[in-house]
Amino acid sequence: MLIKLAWKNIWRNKVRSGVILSAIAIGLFAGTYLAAFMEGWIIGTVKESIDTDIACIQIHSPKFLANYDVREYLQGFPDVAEMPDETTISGRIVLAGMLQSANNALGITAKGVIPEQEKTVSAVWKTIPDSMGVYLPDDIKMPIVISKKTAGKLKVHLKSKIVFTFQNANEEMQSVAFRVCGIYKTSNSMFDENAVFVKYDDIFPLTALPENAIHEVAVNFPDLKTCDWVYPKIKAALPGLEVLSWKEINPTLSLSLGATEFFGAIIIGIFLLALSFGIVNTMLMAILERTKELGMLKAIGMSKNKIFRMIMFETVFLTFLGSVAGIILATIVLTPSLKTGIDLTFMMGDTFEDYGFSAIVYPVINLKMFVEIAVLVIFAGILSAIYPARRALKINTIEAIKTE
Amino acid sequence: MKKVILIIGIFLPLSVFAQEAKEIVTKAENLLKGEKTSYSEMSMQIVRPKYTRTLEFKSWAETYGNSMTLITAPAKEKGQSFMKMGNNMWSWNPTIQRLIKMPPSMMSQGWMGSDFTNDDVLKESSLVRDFTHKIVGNEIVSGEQCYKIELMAIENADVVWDKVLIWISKNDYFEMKMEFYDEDGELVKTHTSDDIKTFDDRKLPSVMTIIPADQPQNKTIVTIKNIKFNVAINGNFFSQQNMKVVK
Repeated sequence: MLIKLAWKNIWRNKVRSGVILSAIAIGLFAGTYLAAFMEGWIIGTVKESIDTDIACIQIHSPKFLANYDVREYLQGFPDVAEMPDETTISGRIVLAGMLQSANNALGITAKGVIPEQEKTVSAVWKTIPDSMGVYLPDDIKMPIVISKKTAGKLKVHLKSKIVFTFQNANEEMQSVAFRVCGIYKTSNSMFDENAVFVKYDDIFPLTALPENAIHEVAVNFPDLKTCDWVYPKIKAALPGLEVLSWKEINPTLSLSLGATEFFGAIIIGIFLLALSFGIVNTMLMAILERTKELGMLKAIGMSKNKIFRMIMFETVFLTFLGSVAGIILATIVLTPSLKTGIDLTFMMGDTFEDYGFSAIVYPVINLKMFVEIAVLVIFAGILSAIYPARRALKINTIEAIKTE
Repeated sequence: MKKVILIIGIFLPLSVFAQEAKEIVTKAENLLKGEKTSYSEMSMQIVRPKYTRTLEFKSWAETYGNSMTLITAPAKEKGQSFMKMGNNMWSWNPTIQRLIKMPPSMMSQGWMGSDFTNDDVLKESSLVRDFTHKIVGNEIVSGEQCYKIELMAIENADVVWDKVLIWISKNDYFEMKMEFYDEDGELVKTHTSDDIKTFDDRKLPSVMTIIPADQPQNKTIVTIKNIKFNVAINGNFFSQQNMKVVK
């Protein structure tokens, strides 16, 4: 009976209810869209950075990272028991040196990898377009994979010869000619500018390192969360080595992950605050307009409790309807971009990529987040209805009936 | 049998030419590097669209061995020295009192801001070893009758050039002009030599100009002011200690 009355009351002034409904709907739409966008952006950036560049866990000799000293090598794969089945591992030789074409020369870091192993850890091979060659194939002698950025700076293309010069373990300069077999492009231009890939077997004889020597072991898991519990185990198992998780290798990345959640909460907080004021305003108006009617209800014997509940119901209906409409709207707008992504290059150019963030964002719809936002909105609606409802109770019955 | 003779007949002149071309290049290369040691004083003019600056330096070298270079002018750079030993290069900067072993990544930079790269300075000339040679014509460069010789890089040799054209004078085996091409057949830079003068006991082109093809308004001009061959250099001369005190 009360619910029916509240429902009918909402639709008596269609314009006002419509305005507040759409305000809530648009607010909720914006909130969920923003949240999905931010989450997608940051997860995409973190995931891509881990899958191409840093991997979940890296193992080095303790002094290696300070100078990229060739002589700080590991003797083959360190033994770690109890790894989950889905773990992928790749050993790399890492050499800082100079890459030279006829036109230019660049300081870069070359990674000597075993292609089959490396492909399981790093997705760089997937970022080579079909027209841009393949990742370290067997049918090309001395292949090298470079980034599009490096290729542009060196003015080289597929099949061009480039010469790599580095210092080996005996402190001798070594020069060796490679052929470009693939040109990759990730969304992290800092990584692109620095990393080139060659075959372990091609570069190893020149390094003057002992058999099986590697500089870097990269460990990756399909699920990022696995890292959290495997990492301490590996670290404990290898006390003499430097074992780093992705959070330590790239603190900015893990910081941005936390910061986005924090900023997301702040934005939603501000949005809820504005929404509450809107609801308070609308409901106060509704009550002011219906002073006579409410007075009449009181006069014919409706209890204060019932009037209060009626107004609360009205507010809840409004916010609930608005939330549902907003979420539906957000889902409709988000669905097509879930797969294709949202391209940000139109407004910022390559600025994001220069700082290692993806320029194409794949929003993430998170059911938990949707429910959270909807509950928060309804909660805010109820809270902000208390004041107008109390005002309704204070209406003087006689005065109210008298007014024309 | 006739066929064999015919085939030999066809290829013989070619291989003779190739042999001859290689010899000419070797002779030209040995002109400067054929002696045991050398001492030279040079100036280097670096021409850029907005400015021109001139450096002067002294250089001591053992052929195919160690070398030391000391900047003598302008005052700001004076006292900086560079030493090459084997495959390594060090630099001493008196203003910061630091001796730096130059890492490979620094080799790519222009030497003292010129169009020479440190790598040019460091790497032994491989024009003989890493290329195949062929005489492709006779031309006159800077008033000298020259052989025009085409050098093609040997597959997998660690040189960045695909083709080098070199004009070597017939009389004195001077490298009058060199053009360096990349794999797309595009000209990357040109070296030219002029102004043949007599130094000590021999004639040499005294001015060398480097022009990068993509920035024709840039160039570097090296002028030999004085050069002596087979000077006595003490065995301890090439040392890190000496880099700091050499004059």
